[in-house]
Amino acid sequence: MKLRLSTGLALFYVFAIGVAVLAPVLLHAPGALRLGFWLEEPVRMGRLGGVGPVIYSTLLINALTLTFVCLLGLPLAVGLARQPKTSSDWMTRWIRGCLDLLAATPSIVYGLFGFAFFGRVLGLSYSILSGSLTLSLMILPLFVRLVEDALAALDPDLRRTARSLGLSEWTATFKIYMPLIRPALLAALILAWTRAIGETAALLYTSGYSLRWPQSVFESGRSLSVHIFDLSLNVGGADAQAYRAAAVILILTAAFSFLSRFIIRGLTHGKTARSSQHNRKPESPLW
Amino acid sequence: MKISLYIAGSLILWGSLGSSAAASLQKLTLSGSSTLAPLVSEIAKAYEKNNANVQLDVQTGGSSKGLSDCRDGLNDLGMISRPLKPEDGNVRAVPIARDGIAFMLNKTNSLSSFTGEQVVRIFRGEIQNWKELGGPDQKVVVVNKAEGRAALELFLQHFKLKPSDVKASLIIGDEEQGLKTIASNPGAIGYVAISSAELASQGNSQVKSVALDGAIPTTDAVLKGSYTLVRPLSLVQCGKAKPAAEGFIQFASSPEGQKLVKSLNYIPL
Amino acid sequence: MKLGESRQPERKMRQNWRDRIFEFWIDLTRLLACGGILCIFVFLGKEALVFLKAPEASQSLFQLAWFPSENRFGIMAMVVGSVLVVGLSLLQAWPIARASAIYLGFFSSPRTSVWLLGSLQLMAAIPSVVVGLFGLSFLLPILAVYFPPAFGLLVASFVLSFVLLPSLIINVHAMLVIDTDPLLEVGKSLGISTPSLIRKVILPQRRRFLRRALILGAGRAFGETLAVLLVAGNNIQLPKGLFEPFRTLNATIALEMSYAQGLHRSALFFLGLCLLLLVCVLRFLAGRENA
Repeated sequence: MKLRLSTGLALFYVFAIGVAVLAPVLLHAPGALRLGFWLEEPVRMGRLGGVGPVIYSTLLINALTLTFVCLLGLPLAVGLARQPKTSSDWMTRWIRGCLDLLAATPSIVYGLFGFAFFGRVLGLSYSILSGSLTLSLMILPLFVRLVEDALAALDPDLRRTARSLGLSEWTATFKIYMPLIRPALLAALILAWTRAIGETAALLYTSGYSLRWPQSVFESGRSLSVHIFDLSLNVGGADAQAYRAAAVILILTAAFSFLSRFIIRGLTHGKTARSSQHNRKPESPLW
Repeated sequence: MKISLYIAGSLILWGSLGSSAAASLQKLTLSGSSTLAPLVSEIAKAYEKNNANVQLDVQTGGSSKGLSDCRDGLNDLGMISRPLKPEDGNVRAVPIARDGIAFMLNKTNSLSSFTGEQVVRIFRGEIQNWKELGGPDQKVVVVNKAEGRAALELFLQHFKLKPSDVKASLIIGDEEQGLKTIASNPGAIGYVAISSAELASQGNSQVKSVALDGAIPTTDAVLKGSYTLVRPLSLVQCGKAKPAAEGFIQFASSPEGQKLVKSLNYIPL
Repeated sequence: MKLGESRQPERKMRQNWRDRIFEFWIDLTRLLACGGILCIFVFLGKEALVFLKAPEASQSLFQLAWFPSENRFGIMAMVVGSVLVVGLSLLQAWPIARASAIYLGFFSSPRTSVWLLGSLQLMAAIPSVVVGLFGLSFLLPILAVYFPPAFGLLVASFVLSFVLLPSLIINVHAMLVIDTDPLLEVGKSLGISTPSLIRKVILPQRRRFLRRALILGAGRAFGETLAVLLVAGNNIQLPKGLFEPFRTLNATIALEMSYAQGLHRSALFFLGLCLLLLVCVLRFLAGRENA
């Protein structure tokens, strides 16, 4: 009971501070619930009006980013995790070490890199595509390490059983391992989303600052976090609008967290015998 | 996976369709100073209304980015918030607005005016307590701009100081960060753009601007020429300008453009 | 280079086309990852080269004074600032994150956990500038009355710890609950109480993964810029107390990059490299991962 009390207190502390930090956002949330705020364009540098184009750009950026992260991150994590830990494979070790390093690179460095590489070398200039490629590079280390650790935490017997049953790697991965690490997959996906939607510096130089409705992913579009950054630190007298935009981030994240359940289901090919039997732990809100 | 693939696929399809439809547009990219970016975005919006076939993309990133992008041909126009220096080379700068810097105090401070010499002593760290100038018994907290910022350069040049002469205790970057920093500290003194200062003192902010050598920093004072701590905000252009870029420069410095500048709380030429 | 690692029995088994594509895909992503990583290092190195070649670099590098316009590039104060604020924030965040994750995983009812985790996800999505503003506009005005100027390690590490906490808890929770149901059931049938099962079995068994979560958290902490920048005061000096301003490496990059040119700009990229070096050292100190 002592452990229960102390850990409960820790969680209470987190939520108490969370409420304090979010207080101004929550106070301005009613303004963000107005439909016009979601559809209108910003007026007078964002001091008035809505954030329609900004929301649209954010959604485009995040959808692309998460797709890239999943497409690149999942196989990479699977490849890294099945490697025996004592392996002398220099490439695996090198990738692991570098991913840890990249997880600590400040996002502004990613922004400058993205501008130099995707923007200039690949000729994407300021565009949503360039922004999401930069973001996915930034989020990849976090995502891969989370999924890889989760895969490595599985019972080694499971792997042996799968092998002795002659299951193919694809089947074993997506029908057995992935459903078992659903909580971690979900956490990885949602952490990827939260980093993507909260990121400022990496996007400032890549997806850019333009307040237009983007006509395609090859055009520049301002993300919500860049908008909040600009309104709170660059444009005067726009704090209320910045907090409203932050409230929009909260709403979008809640929606995504609801949606993520279906994404994970799709990712793990529905329920399997073992997961339905044992995995009664909650995996997502509103699951 | 299937779902996210599907969503992304349809978005990309949609996106590429959109881009082919918009091919006849003339696209201009502007990048540079974060002080100018919000203003130029608004001027660009007005310009696009008159010229439907031109699309202006305004990007931020700082004055030096505006210049280096300009030299590398990555933008059509750069935005800088400082005068050109000799080492900037062969570029053309066209001022489209001005900005002065105003000294700001926390509202709880009773002082309301400084001489230039007092400012120098404060920023050199020779005055430790506001008592020495007849203010409240409060430690002086000097808020300075980060190395290289245009406002810092103007400040140093105006008061003939070296960067290492300034004994700051807090260092800030953007204007609003400066105002919020001064607001959170009773003993703080710092300097921000006059436009930001005026906006902040209109609202219920915890800061106030102070007179320098008797001149109160306001837009009118700058327009009349009685307040001299002023820098130009310019568009820069390297090489041969596209006609649309030339048109935009002209629009920005036209009376119509200048009216927009004033209505957005910047100081017109 | 050997593509794919296993010339082992499983490989020799009959593979369908899906498997082949999957294997190819895995190898491809490894190549891409290697390429991407290499690109970033080459990019950083190339940009920092101007600075490394300049004589000013070696002269002033290990000093405290950083005045790029006077060709003084001392980085030591910023290195100390970065290490201190990350260390202090992890000291605050880690025990709380671990405890909260344990509560979420083993003590709260599934239904409550769902909502608590959901709220944590919302907190994790808040841009760090909002957390920084909380420190700047609410904490500092109160503290500045008693400890002027109050900007400094204490507030910065507190703000940073709160930037880290939500994602750290989600991360640790995920690592704790994977595949623990069988363990809990066995424990229950043996009559072991949940707390002692957690303490004696689950935590020791998961120690390696918890440490990895901690390293990821530390990486995030080193990489975080804006929240710290708003409340650190950013004066370049060795912090003498918890309420003395200091500057981190990334704050310098963020504050000065937009106006830096030439040698100064290159020096800022060198700061980025220093940050990577710091994380290298941290990983080394945390012990080899295979151990």
